[in-house]
Amino acid sequence: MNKKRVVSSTPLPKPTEIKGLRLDGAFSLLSDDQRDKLDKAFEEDRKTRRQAEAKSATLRLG
Amino acid sequence: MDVAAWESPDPGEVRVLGSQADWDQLASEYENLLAENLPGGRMGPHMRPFRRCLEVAQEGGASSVVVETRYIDVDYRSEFSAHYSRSFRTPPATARRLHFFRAPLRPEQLWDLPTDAGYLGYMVLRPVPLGPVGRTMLRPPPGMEPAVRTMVTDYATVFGQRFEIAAVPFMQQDAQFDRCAHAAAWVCHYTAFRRQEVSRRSMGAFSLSADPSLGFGRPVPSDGLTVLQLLEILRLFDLPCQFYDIENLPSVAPGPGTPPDPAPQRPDPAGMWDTRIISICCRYLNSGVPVLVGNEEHAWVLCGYQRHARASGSDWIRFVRHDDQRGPYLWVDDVLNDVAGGYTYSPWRWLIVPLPDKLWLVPEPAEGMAAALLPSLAQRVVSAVPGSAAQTLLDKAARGELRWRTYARLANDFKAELVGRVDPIVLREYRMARLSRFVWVVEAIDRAGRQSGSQDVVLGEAVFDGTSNGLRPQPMALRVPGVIYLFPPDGSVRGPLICSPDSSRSGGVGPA
Repeated sequence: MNKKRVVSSTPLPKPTEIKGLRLDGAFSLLSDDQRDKLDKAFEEDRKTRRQAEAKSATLRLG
Repeated sequence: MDVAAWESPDPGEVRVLGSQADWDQLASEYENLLAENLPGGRMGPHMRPFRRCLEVAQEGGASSVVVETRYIDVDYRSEFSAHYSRSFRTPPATARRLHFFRAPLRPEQLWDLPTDAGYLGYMVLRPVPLGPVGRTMLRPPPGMEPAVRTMVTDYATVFGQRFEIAAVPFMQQDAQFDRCAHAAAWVCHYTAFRRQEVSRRSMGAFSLSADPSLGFGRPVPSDGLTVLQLLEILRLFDLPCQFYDIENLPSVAPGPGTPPDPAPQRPDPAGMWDTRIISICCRYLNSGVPVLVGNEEHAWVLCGYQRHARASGSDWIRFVRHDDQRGPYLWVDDVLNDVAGGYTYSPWRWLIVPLPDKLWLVPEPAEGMAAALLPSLAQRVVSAVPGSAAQTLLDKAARGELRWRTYARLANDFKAELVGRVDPIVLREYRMARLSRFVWVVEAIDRAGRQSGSQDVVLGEAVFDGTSNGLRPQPMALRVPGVIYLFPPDGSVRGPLICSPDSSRSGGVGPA
């Protein structure tokens, strides 16, 4: 009869149980207002990068 | 040029550089040798990089130079094959290489050099009078060394003897086949090559690979590269670039410790007032990544910076520049009014950052997200456990003493560099975590501690997935004083884990 292989589990201790410190994910730390502000800022960031002037692209560097 | 003169003494020589007169003689000998090939016979400004390289070696304490004649240099050979071999007056096909040592060496030691001779690096010289300095790896001058952040390690074999050198690569344009943009791109690429991120590309390949449809005029002789050509060459050579138009710089989302955007001072161009240039460059230099900068006509490379604390107002930053027309390791005293060495660099117009392919996330959104998450986490911890050490971060934020330091690292380097920097629990958790190949790390810095000269100034950090989206930078770990959380890719949460409440040393490259 084959013996079942024993595989050890990752030797990491379990997190501490502290009331009020259980998170559902990193973003659960943020309020709705904070999330809205960040979303707006990141959209603005994208928009700014898209506005890179066509003039820069054709500058000749020598 | 007389090939026999260029290639002798064969195979090389050692010269003592014991006095200023020895250095002057070395410089003038090379000027005369190269000027033979120049109509009119005067070298002018084209020797400035050569003289600056000598200055760097001299400041480093060199007292002897070993000259390899008839040196077969990959970069010069590529230029020779593609260009000089086709010219009517063909220069020699070989280069020279000068190796600088602190120790005074004797000719009979050439084949048995002492291993502790104090190797300071090398400079390749092309037999091209309008652009003699080829691939160069010279140790930064002593006073500047802590500021230089993009150094890589290279090895040179001197008559069968291997020496190691840590330096920022430098090369001068030859003013015909390659120009400042080629030289600046080569500096960034050779840096990435020495880090084993990309394969080696010779200088000739930079000229031959420029897409003519993205520029003007004839590719050879080159009048320079357009920004689009520069971006395309680096993409082709496996270093896709992040581009910043200085007239349209991104902001970091407002949060505690995030400086407000500067008020525009129009009609001045943004390069004269927009201080965001500084923080953007610092994020990449903290990562050890060189930043290619340009104005309307010229390109150069930033390879470091030094912070000067000021009692009132924000700190002042001095950058370190490699300018192919002036030489390596030159201070940039004022980014917004950049005049140096008789040339007006201001206003800067754009920044190009060649990056490894798998670093997709840009740093500004990551920094904004960290500035929101870390104080929120500290607040949550303090609410759950009143009086806990996380209060320190909130207090610093309330007093305006919080700053953010952002850098990218290979996850493996980030893990390796934790030893002696963080407490054993943080080390265990980060090392056992599954992280993306590259990570962005945003550290919460105790500004007062930094100003007082303390090394332990990191109150906590957020570690981001380098492949996450700039619209929602994904944290993989958050740490505030005393508590750490990890967010594995399966969506689970590991934490809270109790760790040391003490501040730690900063990661990334160079001082915080």
